[in-house]
Amino acid sequence: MGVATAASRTFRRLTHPLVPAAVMACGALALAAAAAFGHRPVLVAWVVLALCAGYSISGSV
Amino acid sequence: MLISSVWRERSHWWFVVGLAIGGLITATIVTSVGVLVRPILSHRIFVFLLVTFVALVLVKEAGLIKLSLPQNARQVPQRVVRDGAVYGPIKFGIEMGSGVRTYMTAGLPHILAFCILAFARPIPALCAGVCFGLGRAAMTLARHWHTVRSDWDRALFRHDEHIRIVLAISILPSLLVLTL
Repeated sequence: MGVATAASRTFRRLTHPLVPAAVMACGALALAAAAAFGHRPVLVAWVVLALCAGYSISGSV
Repeated sequence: MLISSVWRERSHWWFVVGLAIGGLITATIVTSVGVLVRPILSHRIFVFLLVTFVALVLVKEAGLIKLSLPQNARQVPQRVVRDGAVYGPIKFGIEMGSGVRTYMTAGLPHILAFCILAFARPIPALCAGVCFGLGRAAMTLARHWHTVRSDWDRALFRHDEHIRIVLAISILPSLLVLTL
């Protein structure tokens, strides 16, 4: 019972609306770090940009 | 929030598929227009326009100015969802993912569209289209999976401004990589 409650609490935290935004921010930080070290991961840049753009208007759903 | 019949049984996965297809369709159209526009304007002009546009959108997201960007701010009609457990959610997702009929509460999709128009090659553009749809799906799936949906709605209402600002800042490294 206690385990199930802890699991559901964890799952509830993972589905908090801030979590996807935080994951995307982490992706952006990784991208910035890669750019700072002279890499140019273009496809990753498109993915992060598009995910952020899609998530930004989801409140309207 | 979403029309409940879209979320019955496995219908929500078809909705996600529809969102991805919708993003793909819009990305294809924007890329095609971009092919026509790019020979007219130089890369520098596109970068200048993008920097100006991004600055305006960031100021808007911070709530300092009101900026109305082009959009077809209408809800998807209920009859679309009545087309069955598969086609209904797919059509609904396509309409929302493509932006044909949807409310744009932020300016980031317009920045993405401009970037695809100005800088994207075909494969990255299509990838961006699919990811746009998946980004839209992320919030609806998170709400769907959340055990107490009223709590989730309250959390979104409380953090909406924070989410907007975090996302607006998060696109900056991408823009840097794409324009260099």
